[in-house]
Amino acid sequence: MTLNPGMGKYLDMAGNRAEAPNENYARELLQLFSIGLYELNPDGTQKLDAHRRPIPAYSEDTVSAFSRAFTGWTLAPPPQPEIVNYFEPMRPAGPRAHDQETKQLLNGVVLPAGQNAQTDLQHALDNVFQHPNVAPFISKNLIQHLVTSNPSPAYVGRVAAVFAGTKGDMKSIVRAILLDPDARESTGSDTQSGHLREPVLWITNLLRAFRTTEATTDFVLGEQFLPHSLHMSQNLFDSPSVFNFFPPGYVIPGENIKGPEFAIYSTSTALARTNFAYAVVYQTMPTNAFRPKGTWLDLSPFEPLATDLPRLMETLNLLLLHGTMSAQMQSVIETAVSEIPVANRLGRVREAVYLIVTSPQYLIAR
Amino acid sequence: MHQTRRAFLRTLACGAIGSAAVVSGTARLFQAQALAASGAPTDYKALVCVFLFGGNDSNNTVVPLDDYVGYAAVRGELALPQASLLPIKPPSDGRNFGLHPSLTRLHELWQQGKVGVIANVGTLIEPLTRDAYHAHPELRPVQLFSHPDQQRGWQTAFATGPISSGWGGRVADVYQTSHTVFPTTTSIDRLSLFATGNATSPLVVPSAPTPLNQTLVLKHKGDTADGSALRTLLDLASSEGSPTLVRAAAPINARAIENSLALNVDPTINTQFPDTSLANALKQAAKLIAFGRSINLSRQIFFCSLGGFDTHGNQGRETGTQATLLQTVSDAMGAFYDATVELGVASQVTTFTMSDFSRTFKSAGSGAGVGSDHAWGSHQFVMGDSVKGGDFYGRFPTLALNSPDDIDEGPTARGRWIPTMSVDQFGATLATWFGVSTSDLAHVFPHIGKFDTVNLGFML
Repeated sequence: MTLNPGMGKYLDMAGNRAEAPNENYARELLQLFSIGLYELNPDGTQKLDAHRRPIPAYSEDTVSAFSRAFTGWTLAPPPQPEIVNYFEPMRPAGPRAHDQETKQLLNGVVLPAGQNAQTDLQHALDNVFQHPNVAPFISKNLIQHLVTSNPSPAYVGRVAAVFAGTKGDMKSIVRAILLDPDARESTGSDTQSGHLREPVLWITNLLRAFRTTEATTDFVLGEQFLPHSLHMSQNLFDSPSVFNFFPPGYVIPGENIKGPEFAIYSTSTALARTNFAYAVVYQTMPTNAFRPKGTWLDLSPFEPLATDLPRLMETLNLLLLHGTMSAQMQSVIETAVSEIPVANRLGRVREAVYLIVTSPQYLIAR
Repeated sequence: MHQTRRAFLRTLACGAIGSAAVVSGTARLFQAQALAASGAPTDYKALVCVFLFGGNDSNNTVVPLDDYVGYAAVRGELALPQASLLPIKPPSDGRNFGLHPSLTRLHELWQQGKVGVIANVGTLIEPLTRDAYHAHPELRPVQLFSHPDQQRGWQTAFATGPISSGWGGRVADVYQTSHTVFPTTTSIDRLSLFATGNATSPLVVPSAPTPLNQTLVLKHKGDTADGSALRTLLDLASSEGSPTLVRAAAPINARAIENSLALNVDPTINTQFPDTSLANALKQAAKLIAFGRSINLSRQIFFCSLGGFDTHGNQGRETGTQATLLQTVSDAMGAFYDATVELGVASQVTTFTMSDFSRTFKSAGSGAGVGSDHAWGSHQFVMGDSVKGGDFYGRFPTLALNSPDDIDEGPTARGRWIPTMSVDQFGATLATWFGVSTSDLAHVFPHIGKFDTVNLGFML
């Protein structure tokens, strides 16, 4: 990642030179990609000083030292004139471009003077990876994305132990996250568990639930291809900044608990989701050159159930809410659907699906 | 009423209501609004925040002309050509300065006394000297130089740690509004902490050119006779037995539907706006002001923003990245000012800029890719007929590495100025003009007592 030419351009490590070091990559590597702002316990909670204040994981001097360790890299030569080389890793720009003075890194490690750009880079990345924050920091972020916005310290601790024990093997870590008792068993009793589905996962979950194939969707990602009324503030792969869409510490106003995905959930994006559900359920998605088919759900397999509302509800409950729908919710939806004439089978199925997938119960993955 | 409005807001601030869990989210919202509506003012005022995401380089926004040589010697390849600068002479300072050549409209408004500059303002826990900065790390705002933390610091006016409400939202919390449904704060295009209070959640609508009455449209209420199922399900989700996150999402959907019904007109604004994201956001704010006037809202607060100011590389000078961004800001704010004149509210609407931080005086990189890194104290603009424009407020910093204004030390110093005024003071001055009483100021700006001057004096 560090020598990826795209990253080199994005966070200015390409062309980072000794005479005027650029702090951009160094700072975000520490803050976002590895250890975070504060010293952590193995269970992801913040270490506190004698005055019960969190302890910064590094100082400005550390950022400056890493920025100097990362000097001396440039993009590979253009494969053709006028073409930026986004194909090969960055390479050293020559000895004078690299700062060869000593550098004070994390945990008291000092890079000796006189090392070249490759050696300094390797030692600096090793220094970051050996920081005790890495396991709990990455583990907690992954849990928040995959399972719950407010994981218990014990849960984070169990996953971080797997991280530390496997030197960050992602397969093992994801398995530990998804098979943890907190992910499997406690959803019924822990009222704070779960997380708001981010827009792209809400959409894919919806499409996959109804086995959508390319016959009924264009599979085009990117909000720019949708009408403005369907924008959900997640233009995939084009977040407003390197901080991405979901601040891990985002506290839901008035609720006192975290909900990173709520940072882009507003009156505007809430209606966009409701209207998106309408478009795919009722087959009204506007088409254009980039989306010639529009995207819609084929609900015809459910039409035979339209005359047997309890069975329709039971089937959709299992499919969309894995059986968690309350009796009250089921009753409200059944009443609404029963007002549609039996002859309008598709209309009945559409109404039921629309009311479920726009419900807050479906928005929250639990 | 069993409790005073302020006491109620205080319980919200302490989270007591949240843990009591006796009032559903939706009901809580309306309870807060009903309480707030108890003593509405009869006049109209609006605050408009223009946030420059990424950290605008103030050192190339306002440049000293009388010491141009000293400026150019350190800025080197980043130095703006002297002849390109738009000259200003703030009476309180007495020296000559120049605005970035892109800021033509703001320069014009400065000359008309409609625009002022707040010099070297930033996040602070309390007033700080260079010596105290080095001797007492605990007096430094939390995570200086980190984008999200400093964006939060500016939006919350709370430099000692994260907090889940912004100062615009807290102004709305304590301020009486005359309308019971439509929110006082609006965040254009994206949710913002600034516009989120303890009892206030902002309306979020997309920018122009989306017509105002098309910004929030519910395409389908359901097929039943009265279309009430959607709303009934939201009430059910808001109820006590629901999981916390379900209960948190439901009122946002409910508000969206209510506001979609309220926003049923698209007011005409004849002023021509440029076709930029910021201008389109400000045009929507102008329409919402017209709409707010039409339903007798007495107070409105807006959040608009422009990104791209994180110019570590390729910052440019009189042309290039920052020049294009500042041109966008200047032209959009100029058009917005014209729109407030058109609506007859130029003295009732005050617009101001905020940004993560300024950037290092000494550059990062060299050649065409030259840029600058994260710093601290910055200069911000305030605009409107109630602004005492054409002047600086605060002391312009000494632009010299290792000066008493610089936190950096020794030969590697980059020039990061210690603010001489805090975001708290900046916000309190605007909030006071808006009508927040002295006693309520302490709720909105909890650390204001750390600063001698509560009102910086830039408002009439």
